[in-house]
Amino acid sequence: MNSSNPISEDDIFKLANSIGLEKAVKLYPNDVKDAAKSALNAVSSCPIIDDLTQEPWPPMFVRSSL
Amino acid sequence: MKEIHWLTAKEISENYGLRKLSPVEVTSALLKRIKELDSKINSFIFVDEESAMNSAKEAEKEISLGKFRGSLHGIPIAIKDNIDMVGLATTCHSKILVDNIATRDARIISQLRSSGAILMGKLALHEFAFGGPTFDGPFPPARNPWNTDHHPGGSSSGSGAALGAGFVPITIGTDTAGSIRNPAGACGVAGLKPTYDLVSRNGVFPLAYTVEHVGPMARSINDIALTMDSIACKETMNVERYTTENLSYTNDLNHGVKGLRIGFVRHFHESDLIADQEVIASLNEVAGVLKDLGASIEDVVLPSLQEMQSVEGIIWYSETWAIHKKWLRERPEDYTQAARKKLMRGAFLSAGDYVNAQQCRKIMTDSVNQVFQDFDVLITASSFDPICRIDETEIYARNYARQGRSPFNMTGHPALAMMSGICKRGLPLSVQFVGRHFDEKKLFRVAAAYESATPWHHKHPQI
Repeated sequence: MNSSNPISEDDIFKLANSIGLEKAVKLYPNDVKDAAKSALNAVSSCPIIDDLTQEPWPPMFVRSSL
Repeated sequence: MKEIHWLTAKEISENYGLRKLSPVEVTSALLKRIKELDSKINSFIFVDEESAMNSAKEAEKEISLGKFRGSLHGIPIAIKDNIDMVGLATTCHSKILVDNIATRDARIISQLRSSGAILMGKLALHEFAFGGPTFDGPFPPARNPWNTDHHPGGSSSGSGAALGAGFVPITIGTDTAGSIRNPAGACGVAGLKPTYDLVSRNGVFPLAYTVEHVGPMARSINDIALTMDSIACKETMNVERYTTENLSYTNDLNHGVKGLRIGFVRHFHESDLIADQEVIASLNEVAGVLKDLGASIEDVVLPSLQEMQSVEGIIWYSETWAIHKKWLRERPEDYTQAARKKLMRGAFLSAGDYVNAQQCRKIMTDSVNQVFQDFDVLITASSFDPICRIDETEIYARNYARQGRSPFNMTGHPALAMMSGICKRGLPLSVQFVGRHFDEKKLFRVAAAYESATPWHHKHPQI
């Protein structure tokens, strides 16, 4: 999800249907919306790493701490 | 002697050695108390009375023959119900797994059985360790023994409530974003999230593979330490330290804090988010007590709480979706609403979001390790608010992110929460101590010094 471009309700349901959550969309649309908004909030608060060589966790070489 | 139900494991074990108590006597007394009072607390999903009494008789026989296996021999322990015990259902407090009978013991259960512990049964939790206090699940939610109208914290809700109620001296919980430390603080006991990988997750129903931890909860720091002696996995420990130091986690408990360098992470609760005034006052008192005991206390700065929480959240939600996607697609109606809403979050995240978060995680973990170059232990807030009523759904949801625990699930540092006061409404307040990777011993040293200098661990609720 693109944090700079908040997603519409229709798009949330389209996306949810496309990934197999049709039943949840039909029975619990508010829960689906709530889940999507929480995910979007997390992404919008997360720093963006531009350096493609930045090592992810877990470390790529052996060390004494995690 | 104190009443049996308020004895610590250490005290029980000492009384076994003096022949003043026996495993059968202790187990019987605790089973009686559970039978009498747990209808108010709902901490147990299943009390394994027959098996517990059989284990107690076996322990009694062995101890009487001088075959003493160690500090957990004959000690009653209860287990969060997302951990496999052969022959019993591992329900995860969910309709989805209500008939999920375990075919083998989790690694931690095998370790506890080898130590001679008496396993009393399975404890309530938030559904799949991620829901909330809900009334639409297969079992009622656990309640806080200090005031049963209140939430006991979660997701190891039964693990905290059973200890606070005096049903067992030790419980086992799991912690993916604070699920051991939150109920420990809310129920006025102590709980440890060990260093990542130090305690095996084998046989634990997964919530999020790379941020999940298994750990002990107890009413004393000594009991947390002696449980770690049984459940820490030697193969994942820092091998150099393991082979050169005397290993027992209880060894340094009484060494005090004189000369230790303690960093106080104030910005989590004073500027990143503003904690309740009673919580802030309690944390300042904790720092003051440790300073008076001879530690140096200095303010330190970590990455911002919100950024750390968002990184941990993206990792957690993504991994959780990978585990639950089939059931969420096919049978969403079988989840409680609280769990369903949270478990679907990962459906809206991309692989790119996940990898970006894991890159951030590495930077943030290095940043915390850098702080530990100059400090032995950190003090942070655990919960930013006193615990709310169990039916205050909106307040519970608002307070859910108002905590300083989840950053250390992401960084893997050991973190311990313990009682640090009582709020005006008569409910426990708590503090969190954080240590270097695999340096649980120093964490216990600080926590034990604080415990000895304050009255909190002697306080128990009236039920």
